[in-house]
Amino acid sequence: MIDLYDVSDAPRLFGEYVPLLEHEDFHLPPGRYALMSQTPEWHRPLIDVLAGVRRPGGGRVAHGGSVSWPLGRQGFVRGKGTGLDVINLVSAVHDVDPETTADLVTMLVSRPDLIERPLEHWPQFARIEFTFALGLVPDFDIYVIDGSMPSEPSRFTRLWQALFEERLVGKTLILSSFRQKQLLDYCARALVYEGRRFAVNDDLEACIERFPVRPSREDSTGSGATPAEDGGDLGF
Amino acid sequence: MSSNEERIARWRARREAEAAAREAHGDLPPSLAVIAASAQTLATAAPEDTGALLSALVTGLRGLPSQSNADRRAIYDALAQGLERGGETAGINPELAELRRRQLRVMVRMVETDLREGVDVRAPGYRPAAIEEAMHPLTTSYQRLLQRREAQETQAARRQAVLADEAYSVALEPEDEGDIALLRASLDRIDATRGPRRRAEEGAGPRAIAALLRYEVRLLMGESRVALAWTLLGPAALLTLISLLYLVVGTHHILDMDVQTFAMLGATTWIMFRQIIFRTSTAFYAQRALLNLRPFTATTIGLTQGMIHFLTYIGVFAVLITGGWITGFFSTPAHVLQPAAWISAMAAAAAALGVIFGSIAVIWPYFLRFAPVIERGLQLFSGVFFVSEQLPDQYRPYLLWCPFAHALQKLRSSYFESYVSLDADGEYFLVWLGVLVLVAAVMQRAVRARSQPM
Repeated sequence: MIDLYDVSDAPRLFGEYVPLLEHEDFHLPPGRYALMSQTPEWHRPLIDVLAGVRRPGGGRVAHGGSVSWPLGRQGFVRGKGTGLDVINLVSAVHDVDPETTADLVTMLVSRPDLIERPLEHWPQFARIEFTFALGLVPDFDIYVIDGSMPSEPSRFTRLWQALFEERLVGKTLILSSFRQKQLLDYCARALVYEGRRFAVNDDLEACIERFPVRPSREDSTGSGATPAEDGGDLGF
Repeated sequence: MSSNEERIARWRARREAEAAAREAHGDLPPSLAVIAASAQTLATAAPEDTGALLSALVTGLRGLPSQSNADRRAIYDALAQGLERGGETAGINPELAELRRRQLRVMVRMVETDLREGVDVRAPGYRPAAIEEAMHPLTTSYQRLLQRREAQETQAARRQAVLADEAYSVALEPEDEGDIALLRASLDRIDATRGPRRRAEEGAGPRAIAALLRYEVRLLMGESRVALAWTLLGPAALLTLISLLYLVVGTHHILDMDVQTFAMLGATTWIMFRQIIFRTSTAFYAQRALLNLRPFTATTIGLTQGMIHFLTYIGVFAVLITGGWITGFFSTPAHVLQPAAWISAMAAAAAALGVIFGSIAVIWPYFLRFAPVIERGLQLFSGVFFVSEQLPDQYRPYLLWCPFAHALQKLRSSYFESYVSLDADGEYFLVWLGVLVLVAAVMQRAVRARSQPM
């Protein structure tokens, strides 16, 4: 369950300020939703607000339970930290046992040997597997997925899908994906974003016909880490 | 059994088969009905098995008048009808029925081609050349159709499960069964030992902050193995420079403070100050990947970086002062807590400045390029190289507007027994500190909607 109270938001996207929401009051009952709109490239900032990882410009977003981080994004699974560092961080944030978590993740992923190596040296597929494997661990009430779920035929996909199906029973899911099959496989209804408003539509198939599904750009928010210009460390 | 009885038995069997065939295919003449009946059982044969169908076809051509096109067509139609009826009776799937139709059609075409070319198709052991090559694509496409149908059925079942909010059982390979049991047990263990569930709206708890600190330290260590040594080298280089300036002109004491210790206090505090500003502002603006983890905000991330550098330089101070005390290079502090408090106050001011700079950078990223320039400017007025009491009275206001000069003079004043700063005003600095913290709090709040997770 997610409630939006008088939410307004105008983040900077693709080089300009876009009024995404204007005084939006919306109640999202529990269920499995596919986020659909004419502008899939705006799903990312919308998901930021729905998942509560970014405060909207105005108003308040309330969640009835714990919310996952947006799974499927590269997110914090990058950089110089190792897989274990990220596991320790996420375990502490969500109050789960880090050792059992590390066991589970290494048992699940295809390349457990990478777990102690810096994430920046991991191949892309290993990072995706890692983030989805880690997303299974805390028992969330609301799962938010921004991107495609594992689908290529492999041991990881089979096991992950089986466990995720069990995790998802009775929970809320918001999925933004460009794969129609996944939308139909996991979602019962559509969460339609149209004309700066949210609405729930029960006819998912019709919505899939109506709205384009295309990959949204990974990062719409402009350049990322600009290295700090701190001169020499010597102070002169 | 005599051969006569055998003949009778065969005749009887044939009669019965003919009767059954007539009954099943009453619309066909008796001879064709037998052909159709013989094809009926072929409908359920293995998909790639075409030999029986071919022999039924050849038998028909051999046993019945088949010189004219019309005769042959009647035989082919009877076979087709037999296959259809057989398929219907056995309830085979539509894909297999379609495969049978195509196989017969291709076979007929090949036999007709051979007939036109004068090949004796009625000879025993006749097989059209390249029949295997012709049949293979049909079987492959049948397999493909079958797979597609299975996928559709799976999808329909999934859809059913989704709509009913049930767990759909994903098809697992036999070798996965052991793993999935272990994984389930592991998840159960995690759920059972999980601490109190975090409310979504809660901020970062102490455990999360500690974990973030540990994570950031790991990242820092990952930057370079000499990163830690560098934190010591920076102050050492700056204090050498300051000391040299004085020692070259023959000054060994400044207002009863020895030059080395004087320089060490200024240099180390200032380098800590600038590092906290730069690291906090950069982390605030650029470490947006961590924003995906809910309790962390840009401010949390920035302040954690500041905290790490504060703790690092506390360590650097400890090493320098202990080392200097053992070697007799630095004089020992007159007090411990007071200097520590002033260093901490400087660190707090730096963290506030870092958050302010970071907030500006969220709106105008290029601003961080000016940060070192601003810091260099402040360095001149902040009593790093000298204290205000060294200057003639009329020049002191040029230095004393800067709150950090007050803090540094207070620090030296509390470190040295012999030096009491008359100009430094602790309250002036603390008011400034309060204002900086307030401005930082307001600014980070103003830009938090713009810090987009990466």
